Amino acid sequence: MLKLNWKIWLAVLVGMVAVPVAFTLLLSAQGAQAAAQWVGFLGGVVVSGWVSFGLIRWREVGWVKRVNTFVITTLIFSLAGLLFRALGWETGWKTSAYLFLAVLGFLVGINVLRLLLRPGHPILGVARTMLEEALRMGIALIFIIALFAMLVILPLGLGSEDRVTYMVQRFLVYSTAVVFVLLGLMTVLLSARTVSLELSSRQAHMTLTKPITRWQYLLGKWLGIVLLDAVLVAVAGVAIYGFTMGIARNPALNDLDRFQVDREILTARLAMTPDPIDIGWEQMYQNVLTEKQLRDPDQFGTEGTALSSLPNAIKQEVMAEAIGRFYTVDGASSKQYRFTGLQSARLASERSIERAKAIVRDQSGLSDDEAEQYVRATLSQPNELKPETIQKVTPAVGDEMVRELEREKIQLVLTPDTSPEPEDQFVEFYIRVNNQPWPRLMEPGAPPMPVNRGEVPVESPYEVNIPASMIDQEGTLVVTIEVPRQRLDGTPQPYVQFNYKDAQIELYYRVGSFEVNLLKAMAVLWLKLCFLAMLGLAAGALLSFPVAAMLGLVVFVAAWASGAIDESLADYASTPRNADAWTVVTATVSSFFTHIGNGAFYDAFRVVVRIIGEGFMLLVPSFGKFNTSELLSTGRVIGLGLVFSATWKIGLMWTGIVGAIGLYFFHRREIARVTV
Amino acid sequence: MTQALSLPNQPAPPTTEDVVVKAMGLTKIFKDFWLRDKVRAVDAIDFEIRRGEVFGLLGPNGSGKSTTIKMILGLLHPTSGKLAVFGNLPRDVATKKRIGYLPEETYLYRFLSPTETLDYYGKLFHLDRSTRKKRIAMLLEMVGLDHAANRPVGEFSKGMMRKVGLAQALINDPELLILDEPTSGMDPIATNDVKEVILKLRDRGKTILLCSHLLADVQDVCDRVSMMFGGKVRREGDLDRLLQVQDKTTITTGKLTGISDEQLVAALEKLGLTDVVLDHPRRTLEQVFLEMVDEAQRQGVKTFGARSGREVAAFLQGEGEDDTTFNQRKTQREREVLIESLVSAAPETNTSATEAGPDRSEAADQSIKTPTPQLDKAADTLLAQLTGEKPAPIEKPKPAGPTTAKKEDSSKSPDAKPDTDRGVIDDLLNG
Repeated sequence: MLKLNWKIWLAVLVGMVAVPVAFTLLLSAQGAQAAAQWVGFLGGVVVSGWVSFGLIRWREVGWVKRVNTFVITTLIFSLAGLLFRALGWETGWKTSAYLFLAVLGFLVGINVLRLLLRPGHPILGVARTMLEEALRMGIALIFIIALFAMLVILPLGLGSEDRVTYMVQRFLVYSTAVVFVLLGLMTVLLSARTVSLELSSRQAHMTLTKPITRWQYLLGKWLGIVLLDAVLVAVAGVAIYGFTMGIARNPALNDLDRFQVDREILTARLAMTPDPIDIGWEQMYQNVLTEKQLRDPDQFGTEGTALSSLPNAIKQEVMAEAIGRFYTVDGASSKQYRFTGLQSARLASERSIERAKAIVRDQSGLSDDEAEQYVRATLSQPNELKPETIQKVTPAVGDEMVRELEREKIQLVLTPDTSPEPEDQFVEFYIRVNNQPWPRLMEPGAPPMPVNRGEVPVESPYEVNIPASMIDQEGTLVVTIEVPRQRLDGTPQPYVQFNYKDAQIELYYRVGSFEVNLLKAMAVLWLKLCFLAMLGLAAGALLSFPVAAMLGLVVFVAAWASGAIDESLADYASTPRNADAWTVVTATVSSFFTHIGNGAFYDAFRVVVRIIGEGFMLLVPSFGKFNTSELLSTGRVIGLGLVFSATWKIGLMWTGIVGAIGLYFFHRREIARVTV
Repeated sequence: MTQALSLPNQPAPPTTEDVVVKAMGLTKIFKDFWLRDKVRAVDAIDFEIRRGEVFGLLGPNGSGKSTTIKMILGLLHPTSGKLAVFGNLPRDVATKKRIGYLPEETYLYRFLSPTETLDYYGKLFHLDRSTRKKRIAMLLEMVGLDHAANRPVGEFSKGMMRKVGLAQALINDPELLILDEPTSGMDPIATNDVKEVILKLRDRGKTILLCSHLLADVQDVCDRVSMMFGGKVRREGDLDRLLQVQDKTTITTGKLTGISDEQLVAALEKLGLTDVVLDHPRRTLEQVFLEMVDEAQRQGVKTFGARSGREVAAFLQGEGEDDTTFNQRKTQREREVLIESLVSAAPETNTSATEAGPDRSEAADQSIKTPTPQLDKAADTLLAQLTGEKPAPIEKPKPAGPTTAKKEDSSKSPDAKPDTDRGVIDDLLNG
């Protein structure tokens, strides 16, 4: 007798679908609609029954298993979604829809990986088994579930902020941190576990007696983990993007809030500082030095001594003073700051003007010349527009044009400070760009103001939006800042300084999109995970699981907090830092003995602690230097340079070094243990 | 029987190509934490395994067998001495391509199914997908796990895991098969299957290194053995020569009809033979057990455990891997014939002097044997030593005298292989 197998089941299924469909069509063609519906309904019931039977009966066959996973996932999420919808909880069902898409993406990604790892090669074989281990042994699954849960909970927990800008920023900071911490922990535990446990419970005996070299074995394991990480990072990235866009669509507090979300966060901007106009930085340093030398030759050397020949501390003092002076504008005077190299912003602005022109031309029936004139006048001289031209453009079209033009606005950010501190904490100054009147873009037809007057709280950033069209053909923009002797209310202003705590006068302009920025952030995050995977594997190949996992976690946390640790170490004890190794060693030793000689044992102890700390940090890659999350959440571009540098330093150098050390010892060690 | 065995007295010195594994002064010393010598696990041993033979490595627990095997596999590095596998270093990847290994315990990934497990090991041998698919189907069929092909291995009994282990050892159609306690945890049917695989592979010119303390298994399949104790090889040579009892003769004949035992003894003594003892051959417990399973399978009794009595995978028999050959061979009739031949295989290997092919359906088959009260004294003590933790309960012979057919079922007879029974009992206890 023919035994029922899944192939027959599938064939019967095709027949089962075909017959009722044919009958339904036939009946409805003959006008028997009710009968057709009945046949359709019964056919549907029978087919679903048959499908369910097959999916359960052959659930262990590879492809049926996969189909089942998809079917069950879909069922669970549709039920949850429908329930929330019936209860009228909109966030609930929308979130379950998002989550469903994320889980679906994850499942598809995993199956693509399985497909990629199919060819008969030892490295791929080990990678595939690693992948299955991660998915089936629960350890990774806990983190994956936690990841999805956190991504859903985070946006729900951000509801209390009134400004959408802050909500978006906080979500971006928290979500990238959560993804990194969860995936980092998963990667460390998974990688530390797999090799060490395979050695102790001897699966490695079976694998390593096959024609596979030790490096292939380690590489395969690494590949399995980082590929899983890649899928998870990708899914998390898409989820973060989706939720960010969702949050950003919340009603904004005001126009500024909306503008900041769209143009300052969900974008990728480059920050730029001004250069001295007539003389270079070197000359400025030298001028300050010469002045100081005349006053105090003992400390700064006789006149004519070059800056480079002076000790580090003196050098830094001179440079800081020069920069401070550069950013200081005295009362009753003005200063010009020149930004150069803004060609790309200028080009973007030209393209934006073209698009705005097209909008006005196509929707208002203006000629090409009229439209161009209208747009350019809106940008610089709105009062020159003829009333009849203005009448042709409806307010809706005008708004659309302005929105288009605003895409290419650039931001000037200043953080003013002064002394003595004014009682109400405010300073006043005037800004003029390229010595032109200040355009009032939002109100077509209104005359431009002579200058932009800033009444600004001290020690907090102040932002001015400038149309990118004001950048000249050479890509230069000159900003003039004028500080009056006293405020309008009569409060005196001796000077205003614009480099409060390293914040200088900065000009931001759009160089890329938020999407690409997020992609780069996720790529750098993944590179960090690649390093952690190799670290765990190397540790696991030499140490037992608990020890390897501890080591991996310590390095993970240290690398993660490397920025903060670095700072606190620098503050902890005073020994030189940015000097050559010999100077550091001699200075450290001498300061240790000086402290001992002075009887300051605690200070001596601190020197020792710092040496140990610095020594340890040498063994840890500084993830702090690649803090993409901060850039992403402030809408600053993650440069390709940063991505390449992360690829080189973390992805290749650190991963390579750790992998090579692990492989060296793993290659030499005996796989089997003493059994006598 | 191979060439090597047909010339037991003066084996020709093997040429280099004929030597698969060669050890010279092989030593392994385990050091303690302070790098002092702690244990001399293997102490300057020499041996060679030749192409096409089944080589048995015997010894009690802790005698250095496993250490030797692990050195051959490159899992341990020799402290001193030379070890060449296929003329190469053991750790050479090219060497490992030609080896199949079944460790003493099966260490599998608990989360993979047998199919996935074999797929994984197939990939390690660079086998392409279609080859893997075919071989996996054949191997699972062979070890009787095709019905459990997609269940996670973690749910399996020890014996079933062992079968997956055996299948993975064969996935590359190895030239040298290293089996460490292959039948531990397996039931007698599976044990028989393993023995059959070993013999089939040997017939195809493959080399097999068998390491075991189930002496029955070793005796059934090995051509040459090396016996280790305390890290040294104490005895080595052709199994036939080691086991032969020089001063006794066995006479086998068909069923006695019309002649009484007394008449026969008298007739023989008339010919001048002395110490004539008349006895009937006994079946081993293993045979009875296999008969029971055979019968149950014929009646269609279901089992969720491993089924058995399957044929050796076609690719291992050098028959190509195309599906048609394989499917043709899978017909029901073929299987029955196979089970038949498997079950009858045991007596064949056990009694070398039997002339006519044994016929199990006629269990009353008789033979006359000169009494073999013991194997000689030396072998006796050695076996006792080898079986290690449990001293071998070697059967003391029944007092010489006439026996009747009735006694056949109830009493032990001197020609029953004592270690065969032990092996089966061990298997039953383990399985």
